[in-house]
Amino acid sequence: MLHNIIHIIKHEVLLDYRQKFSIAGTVLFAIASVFVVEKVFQEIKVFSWNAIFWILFIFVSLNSMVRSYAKMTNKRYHYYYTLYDPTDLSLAKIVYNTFNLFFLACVLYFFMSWFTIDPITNKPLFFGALFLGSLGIGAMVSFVSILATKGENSHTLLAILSIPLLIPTVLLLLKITAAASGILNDSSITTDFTFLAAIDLLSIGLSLILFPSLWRN
Amino acid sequence: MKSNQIFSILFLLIICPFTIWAQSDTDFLRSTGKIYTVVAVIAILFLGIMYFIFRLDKKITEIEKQIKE
Amino acid sequence: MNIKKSWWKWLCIPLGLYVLLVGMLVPLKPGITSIDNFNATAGQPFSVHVKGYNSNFDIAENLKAFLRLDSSFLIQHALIKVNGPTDLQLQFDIPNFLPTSEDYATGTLILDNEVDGPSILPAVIRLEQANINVQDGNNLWSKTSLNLASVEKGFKFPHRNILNETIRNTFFHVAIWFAMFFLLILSLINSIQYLRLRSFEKDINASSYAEVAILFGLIGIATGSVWAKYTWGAFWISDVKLNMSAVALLIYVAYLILRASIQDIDSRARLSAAYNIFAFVAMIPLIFVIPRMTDSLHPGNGGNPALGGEDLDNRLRMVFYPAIILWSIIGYWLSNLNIRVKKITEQLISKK
Repeated sequence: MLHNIIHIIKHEVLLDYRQKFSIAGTVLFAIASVFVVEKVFQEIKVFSWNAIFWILFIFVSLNSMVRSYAKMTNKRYHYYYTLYDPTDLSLAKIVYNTFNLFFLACVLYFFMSWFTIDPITNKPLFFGALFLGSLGIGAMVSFVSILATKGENSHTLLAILSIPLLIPTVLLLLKITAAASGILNDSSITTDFTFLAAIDLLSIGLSLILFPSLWRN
Repeated sequence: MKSNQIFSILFLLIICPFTIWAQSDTDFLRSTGKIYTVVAVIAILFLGIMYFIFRLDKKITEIEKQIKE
Repeated sequence: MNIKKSWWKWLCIPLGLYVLLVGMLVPLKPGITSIDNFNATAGQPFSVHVKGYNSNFDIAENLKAFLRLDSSFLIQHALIKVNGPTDLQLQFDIPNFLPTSEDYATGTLILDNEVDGPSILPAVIRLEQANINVQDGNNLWSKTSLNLASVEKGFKFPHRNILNETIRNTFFHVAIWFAMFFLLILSLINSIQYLRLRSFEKDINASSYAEVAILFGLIGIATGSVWAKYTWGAFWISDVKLNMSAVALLIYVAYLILRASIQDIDSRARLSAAYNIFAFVAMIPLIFVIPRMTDSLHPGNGGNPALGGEDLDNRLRMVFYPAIILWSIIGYWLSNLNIRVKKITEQLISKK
């Protein structure tokens, strides 16, 4: 099982490496949005920085996730189905998407702090939240993107279906980043982290359970 | 006029007085311990359920038409 | 209509009459609606004009008024003048010192008489002191003890400050949310059954329940909005409970949009069933966990502190539970009609 998962992830990385322009496109999207933010806000406050960071992150991740399943041509779809167990496939997808999103979040943070300000004082807390957030968002959006690619107008559908699901995660993340940037003095950060982890586990578990029934066609 | 349009007009007609009354502190809906807020809530509930019944009625009319054809 | 088979439909009539009549006609307990003076100074007389609600100050004997601080410290009134059944003029002689080491304290006003029983206006009066002497303050404020008449005459709903008569919304606004949740659970069960049995009937059921649940959710938001306008002063405020209910509604509207955007019947049923299950489970932290973590203005969350217990007492429950059953049955009935219409339409299409 682990062997299969690693194999699929390798395959994905290779595919993305071959289509460099698509990753570069997402990164460029992130940079362009950050630049717009820098131009619109002459002087950005810490609270708005947090809000904008997570909003940009949602859009960047939706943008990159739409590739995740849309890039699968029909032929490869069947190839995957005959080759691997759906549970392995979805686990591999979640792991790959998590690291993909974490990478994008780091890129976004790098450019946000370069162009505007860097309000984060507690870096380990922030990156921990970033990782758990990427995990949760990755699991949810990769599940929803399968649904969205089957419908018409999949790009809009992905946003409509996933944004309401992401709101609890994003609210928790906002709270944690506010604490990490020192504007919120909260002692219940550990409970927030537990909640975030619980939501992550919930969405991973659900996608593992529901993925096989979606995969069969 | 379609039933949807009628309903949106009815809804506006009911909501508008509320917003006008809300301007002052000694308004109608706040009188007698805000009992008329409860009445407004029941009215909205009733309208919502009526809307659903009208929609169902429309669907049934369509089915009847299809059966006649 | 066969009564044995459709008894639950007939149950709506007595339940509905009970909820409407008892819910609207049972009076509230006496309470205090407003006072005209909120600031008192230590060592000076504090006179205040009190407006009661449903109270009988004119026929009541043995009228008492207390001004209570945080826990056990209180003083009794110095003067009481009755102007009418709901109109009272009070005077307190505030002692020279307060039983606190800070320069202010918040006081609760308690009225008591043998006809109405106690009524409370919690934590509204601000008492200030120039000099601090905790020891003397403690002595001065513990001379009287709180002995309330505590009469419970007749069947009455509790009077809550700010809520007043809108406590009756429990039977409509709150009960409709519970009914919505009941319908969503039915929808979830049908979606799970669809993924197991793959019968189209289950798919139709799931979508119909979800539709009526969305209707109930919209009614819940609209009624809550009207109530909020006259209680908080705005149709929408940024409160956890409100945000979470709006998000839950967004999720289910997205479910309907997903259904509408897939043409193939088979994959529509499969994908929407999966999304339904996912959305329901994602909604659990949304509705139950996060509102409980943060404080909320919404009633039922400690927004209305009072002497006697919570926002929902046993007498409210006697109408609240039947109301939940009533709205759940009505929701089930409406979705049942919806299901039948959809099935007939499907049959007509397949015959053609």
